[in-house]
Amino acid sequence: MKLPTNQKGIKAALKTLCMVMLALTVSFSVSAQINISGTVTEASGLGLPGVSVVVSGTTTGVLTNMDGTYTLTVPNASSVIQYSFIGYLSQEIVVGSQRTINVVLAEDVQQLDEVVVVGYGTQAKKDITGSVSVVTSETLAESASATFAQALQGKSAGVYVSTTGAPGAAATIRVRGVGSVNGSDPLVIIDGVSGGRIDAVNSNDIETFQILKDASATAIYGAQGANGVIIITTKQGTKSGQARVTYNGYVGVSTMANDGYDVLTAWEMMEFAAEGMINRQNYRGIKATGDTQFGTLQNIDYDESVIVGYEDAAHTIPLYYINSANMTMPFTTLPAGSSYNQILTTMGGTVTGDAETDMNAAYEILKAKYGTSGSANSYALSAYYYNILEGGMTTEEAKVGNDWYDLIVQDGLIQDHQLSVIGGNDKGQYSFSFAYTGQEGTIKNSLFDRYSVRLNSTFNPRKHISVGINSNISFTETSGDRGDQGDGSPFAQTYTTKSWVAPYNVSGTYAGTWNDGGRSNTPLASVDGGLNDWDRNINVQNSAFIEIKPIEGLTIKSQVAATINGRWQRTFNERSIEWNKEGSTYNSLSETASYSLNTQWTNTANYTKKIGSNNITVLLGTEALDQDYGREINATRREYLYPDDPNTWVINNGVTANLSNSGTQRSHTAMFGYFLRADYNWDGKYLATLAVRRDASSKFSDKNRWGTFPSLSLGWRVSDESFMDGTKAWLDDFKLRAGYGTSGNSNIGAYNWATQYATGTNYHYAINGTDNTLATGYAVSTLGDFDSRWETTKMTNFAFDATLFDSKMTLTVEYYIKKTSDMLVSASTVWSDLAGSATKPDVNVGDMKNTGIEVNLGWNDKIGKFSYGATLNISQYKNEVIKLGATDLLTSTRIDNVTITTPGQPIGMYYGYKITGIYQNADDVLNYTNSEGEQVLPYLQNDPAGFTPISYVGRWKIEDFNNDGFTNQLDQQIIGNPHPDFTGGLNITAGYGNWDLSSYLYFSVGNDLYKQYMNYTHYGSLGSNYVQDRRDNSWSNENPDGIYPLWTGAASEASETSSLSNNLYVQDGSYARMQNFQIGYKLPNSLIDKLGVSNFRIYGQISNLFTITKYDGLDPEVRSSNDRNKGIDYGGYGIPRNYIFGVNIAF
Amino acid sequence: MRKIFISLAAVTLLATTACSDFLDIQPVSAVSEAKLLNPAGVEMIKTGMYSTLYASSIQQSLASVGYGDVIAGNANKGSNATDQPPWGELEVYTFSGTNGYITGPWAHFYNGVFRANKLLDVLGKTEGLTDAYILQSTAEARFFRGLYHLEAVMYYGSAVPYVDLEDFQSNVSPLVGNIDEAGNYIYIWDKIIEDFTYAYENLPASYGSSEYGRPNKYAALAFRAKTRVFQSSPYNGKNGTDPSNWAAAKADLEILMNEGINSKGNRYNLYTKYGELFSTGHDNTTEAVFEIQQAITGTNTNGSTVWGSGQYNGLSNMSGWGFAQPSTDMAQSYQVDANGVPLLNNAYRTLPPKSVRASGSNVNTDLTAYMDPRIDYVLGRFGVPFKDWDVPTSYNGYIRDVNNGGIYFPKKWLPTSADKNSASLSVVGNSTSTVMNVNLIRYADILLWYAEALVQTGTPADAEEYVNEVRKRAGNQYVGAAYRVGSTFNSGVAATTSAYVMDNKFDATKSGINAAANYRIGPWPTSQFANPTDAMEAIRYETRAEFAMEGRYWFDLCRWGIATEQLNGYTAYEQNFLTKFTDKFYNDAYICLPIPTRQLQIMDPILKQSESWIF
Repeated sequence: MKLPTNQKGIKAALKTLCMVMLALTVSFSVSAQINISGTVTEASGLGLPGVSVVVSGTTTGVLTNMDGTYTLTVPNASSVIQYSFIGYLSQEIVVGSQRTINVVLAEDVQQLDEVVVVGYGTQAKKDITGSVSVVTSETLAESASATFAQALQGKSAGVYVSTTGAPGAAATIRVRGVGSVNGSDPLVIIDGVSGGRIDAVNSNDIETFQILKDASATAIYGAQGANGVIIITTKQGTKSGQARVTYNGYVGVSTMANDGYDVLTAWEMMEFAAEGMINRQNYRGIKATGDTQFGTLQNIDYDESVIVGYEDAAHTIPLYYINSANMTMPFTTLPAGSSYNQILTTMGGTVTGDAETDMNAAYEILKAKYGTSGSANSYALSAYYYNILEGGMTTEEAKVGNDWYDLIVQDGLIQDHQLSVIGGNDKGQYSFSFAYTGQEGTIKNSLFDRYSVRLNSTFNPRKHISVGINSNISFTETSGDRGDQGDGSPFAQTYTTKSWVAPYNVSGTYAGTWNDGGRSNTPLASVDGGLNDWDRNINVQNSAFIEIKPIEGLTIKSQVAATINGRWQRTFNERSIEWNKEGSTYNSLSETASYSLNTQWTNTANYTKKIGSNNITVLLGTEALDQDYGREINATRREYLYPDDPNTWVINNGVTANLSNSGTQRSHTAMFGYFLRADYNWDGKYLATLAVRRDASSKFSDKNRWGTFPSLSLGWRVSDESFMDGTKAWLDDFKLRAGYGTSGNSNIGAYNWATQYATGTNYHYAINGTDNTLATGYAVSTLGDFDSRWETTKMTNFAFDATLFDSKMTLTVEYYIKKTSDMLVSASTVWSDLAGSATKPDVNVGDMKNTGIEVNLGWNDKIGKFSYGATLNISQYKNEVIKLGATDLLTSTRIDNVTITTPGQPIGMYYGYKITGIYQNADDVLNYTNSEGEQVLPYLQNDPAGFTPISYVGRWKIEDFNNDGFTNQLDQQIIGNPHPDFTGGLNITAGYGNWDLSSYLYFSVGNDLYKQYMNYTHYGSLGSNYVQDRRDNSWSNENPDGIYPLWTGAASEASETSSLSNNLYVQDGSYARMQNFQIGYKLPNSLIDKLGVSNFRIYGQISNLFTITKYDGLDPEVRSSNDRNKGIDYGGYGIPRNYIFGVNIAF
Repeated sequence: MRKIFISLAAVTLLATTACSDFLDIQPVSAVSEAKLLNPAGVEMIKTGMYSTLYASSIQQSLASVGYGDVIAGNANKGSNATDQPPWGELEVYTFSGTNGYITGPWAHFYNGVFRANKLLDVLGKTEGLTDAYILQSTAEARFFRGLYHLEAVMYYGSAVPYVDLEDFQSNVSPLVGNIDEAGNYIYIWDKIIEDFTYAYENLPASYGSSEYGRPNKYAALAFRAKTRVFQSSPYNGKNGTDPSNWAAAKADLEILMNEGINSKGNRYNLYTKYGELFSTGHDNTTEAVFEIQQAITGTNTNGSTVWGSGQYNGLSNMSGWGFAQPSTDMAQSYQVDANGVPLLNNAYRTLPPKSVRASGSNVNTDLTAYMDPRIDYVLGRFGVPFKDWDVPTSYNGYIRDVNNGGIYFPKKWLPTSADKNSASLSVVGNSTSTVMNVNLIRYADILLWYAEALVQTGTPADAEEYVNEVRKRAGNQYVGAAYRVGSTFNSGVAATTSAYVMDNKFDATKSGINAAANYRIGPWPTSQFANPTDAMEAIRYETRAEFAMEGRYWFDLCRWGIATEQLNGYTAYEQNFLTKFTDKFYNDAYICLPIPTRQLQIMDPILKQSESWIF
């Protein structure tokens, strides 16, 4: 369906081109006899600017102006006027007696005439033989999103996008599987300039969006093309003579789409700790030594005979005796779990025995002693007593403790405003826009702000010469939690910080996590600490071009571009003595400034010639790229006197002792290449494209600097053959295509070839034996590989495109085989440690293969005023590592070796032990057998007689994978596959009159996810809180079906529980998500015409409306920038749910 | 058309002529080797070799508490259970060749070998070096090459690759394994001895004041003696050892005792006070045979943290990480009888512990019990002044997780409070930073090795003198009830009149009052040296007490061939206090660590797992 205010992407892109053509070819011969005027509109009644209105058979013609009106003089009444506009069906009308001719142009739903931007030029979509996906700006506009990467998700088969829930978050984009272990980010080209920043482009500025997927399409980008190429063009001016002003904007609210984890409340955690102590006695015969916070237990029945102690009668007192104190919630948690009676006793109060009196007295004593000092060592109440004494809660209410999740989430305001002016005339065209995007995250103090200004202009000083500038300046600021995977984020702290930790201590500073409350500071301290920290970027992408058309069919273009990026980061680190262990006793300010400059010079000559039925286009070009020229400098000082006042946060206000500074130069690289592309078609029926690029990169030694990347693709429009006449009734168009090509990847260090020596404090030594002088040292810091060369990807592509049933249905099916050879892998997989510990270069040792199928199916129809459409894309790939160095590549989180990349398997498979059950009793321990029926000893036991079976009861049975009778490191195996069986998107649109509706569903099926967060929520890593699942589903005699090990307290978890990767971490992460649901209404023309407004549409949108999944984590969309860590879920807060109200207005 | 192609060709030509320069981008902020092939450059490369003595992590620390003490039961890993799990595998003997704490040292030692060979390499191709410079530098390089190979032998067994200059130059990843063509292990003792011999013969006897940090010829000899001591030891009959080398070891040690001088030119002698050896201002003493020269410039902690630039052994209240907490077993082993002599045959394990957890987070220590005074320099006990910091009574702030790490905390290598207030002695913000030097061999080593050599060569009675010499020195100093800084008591610690005394059975005049606890020390009785078995028992006790937390003990247990017996006794005892030691057993075969699995894969088939790890 059509959204009236949003320009058809491709059509609009070609508006300019079309008008240029007309300007060149139409001469204004005037033999005025009949003056005709009228308006050309589209079906909705909206005037169409720029429509070519030509007297048929002549060169006489005009273009419609902004509101679609035109006047034209024709020779006589029998003249035929031809109305044509790209994307619409042309009409011819005999003038006759008419003097006012109003024409309604019907949309050409058969979009085969679309022109697609391919490398360094354009091609008619129908003539394309490579694999190119087009995402129209209309499709992108269907969802309001901050960055184009977010808008791109699932819109095109074979293109995988994942992002995080943070405002303006980074995204991972993969085209056709995983090309390399080195990172497989596609090349992004914005207006012909390489390496654009995805978050610097305002998605409203985008005119066209193409993804080149196969090597026959990407080979023209040679060494940079192996992972696919995304080509973006932005909106250009028009020659209509009138300016079109549009405003697009929305305001909305961003909310959490989940409620966090079911972590234990303060009171539940205390009970859970007690349960652990009881279990330890009952099952392990070990007396509780007490909990650092909750103390010890009372009146537990236990059998003295099993207590481990001293047999000598004189020493029967166990080391840690269970005393008679009741287990109660501690009064203070920092610095220790103490009762109020203990506080009174140690701080000079009087214990009266009345609970209420004593509690208040202890509180007053603490306040008096620490209330004003602000000392970080001052006492903190437990959250329970904090709730009572400072929150005024009842004891029952207070038991919950602190809900950290509630303390740091928020509903964020999101808004986006863009004003654009597009216009121009024969002599010059311009497109100007100003946009502001402001997004508050769903975590407090997280935000993304972007101001961008774009000016694209073209001037035509001579008939055959045009010059122009495309300029984009954007300023972005991000702050706060970025939603990245890892356990250090404020959100992760909501489950790593226990509920009994209070928000503040008695002096009003943040309470800490000393003594097992969690790992570091509290999430509250984190989000508050992030206030006024920033990360600011200015990105300026400027390019200037000159285009000359000396003769018919030939276009010579030269473009120079400079992209300048400046980045400033400011981080204020508050004193954090309250942290568990990595805290700091002083505050500090750190500022980092850096800049980089990328320059590019591209020269192309394009020649098109039609000789009979032979259509030939030849493109020749050269390109030079100089990237990452720039530096970075950092300064840090300490001990700021007014940490609360950001105005004082400048480096100079810190003390000069212990200051630090550092600076580096960016990894500067250069690349140069020549390229050629030749397109040939015979009458649109037989098609061929040949492309060759030869590239050189400074990353390689001059020995292996050059690489050549050829490709060839062929197409056959079968439907044009005479033997297909019988199918014309239902088959409009059918094209077969096949392609083969190579492209390269050099995603390695800038100086991979060079052996380098470095100096610095790590290389110095106090040769003179004194305490404060170091002699300067140098050593090999990086070994180079003089022989390394391009990683080459060879891709074969087979496809067909079909259009059926009067263009109502379109179908494209593609199959590809993508082989990466000479994959650059760190030499540490083939060079032993005898080569020293200097950084190893990447060397060509690996091979990888991807095969895949992509299907795009579309249906569009219109019944009266009702129109509807659906587009379904499905992609599937299979990745296999063919060859690696001498060792597998393993990755670790806080758990060792969670993924393995090994020949014969896809990259980044989940790796670990397989749990087969729980030892139910001592006999079960002894009778556990492997698949060959032999006894298997418990984990890491190697002596059948050397262990006590009873001590393994309640622990995991681990599969003896190698059947050697032992369970140890050799039993690790592949336990999950992070790669989906298929992914896809379903886009459904409908319209009725002025109403329109669009929705977008994304799905991923068959991929496993790795629930890394369980290491915290289930096994207490970093002193984390526990979730109800661990409490309720742990094995015990009462719960023999429990899947988690017997709970005996955090400190006595078995090593296999806390530190081994196992299959319980792995779960199917399939999901389907309604990513977007939008309803719009266009105000009737009758209403808005009077206002001089040509279009006024309002819409409402909900993003992330619902998710269907069986996955237990918070969000099945898990972003990993490294393919070897794909799908490892640290428990990020996931994609938010946004409610948006927006308007589109055009004048 | 012609015009087009000409113009295109012109553009192309223009672009390509600029191209070769355009693409020639040199690495930034680094230098190529060519710039260093001159006398000043070679000297800096040499310094770069020395810099490997500074550890950037505990895995690289040559004072390897993580191995020499933690595996040996002198300490447990400390911190909490989920912190550094791979290290946790070392303390409970569940490690394997993929553990990062197994792979780390291997990489570090061979990096040390790499740097030494690199120095030899550039010495051979630099113009303008004097012969004397080349000779001495070659000796230094070979000292380091021997040192790191010896470390590799101690950790991974003596069948490990030995990389000489030729191997180094032949391939960036030298193709040297540990087996011969017939598949038999190649033991590298003799090659290490060759390196140390060369160094001994060509290094100066002492240095001028600007070069005390270099090893002198006696340091090289001491390392040769150490190599021979290890080569002579039983190692359960493995590692290609041979007891006949004891004679050569003894001869080396005698030279050191008769004529050895430190790098400042002073005759070797035990330094007067044991405690002062572990404090700033006592570097390169007469006891120093070879020390890592700790130093601070600016806020860099690389050269001032004994276990790597992290805060491993720092206490929680100093923002430290709380690793490497001494074990109850080790604390108990410092108990002595009325004569000031240790309780033999692990009898200390049958006595109740002297420190016990009391109510709340307090720990009560029985300060009346007789203890070897060294205990309170080695480890932190509650109720005893923690240097000049405080007298801790509650584990809050001192111990991160008492249920995982127990009730003792590290002390030996931690800076004093006074040092922390001086930017030249300790770096603010790193609780473990201190410029006190770290000894790799000190004269006490020489004496105890010599005593062992005497026992092994058939004259156990002669060993008494040397063992008691080490023991006697321990009686020269004790921790006072309030820590004394110069002539005044540190303001942070109250001066008290203590009820506890030091009772020195060697020399009554060295007894004293106002001790932090009751200390007692006396000579081993002569009867202890009547036979080799008892004499070795004394040497083992003395070695443990003297070098605790200096990363020695596990290597000694392995070479003595008693690791299994000692360590299974340790876990059986220690599990009474820390449940993580329940059901943990040391494997009989383990006389060293496994060679890292990954290196075996890369170097297949020339590198074979060490013999004690093939079952």
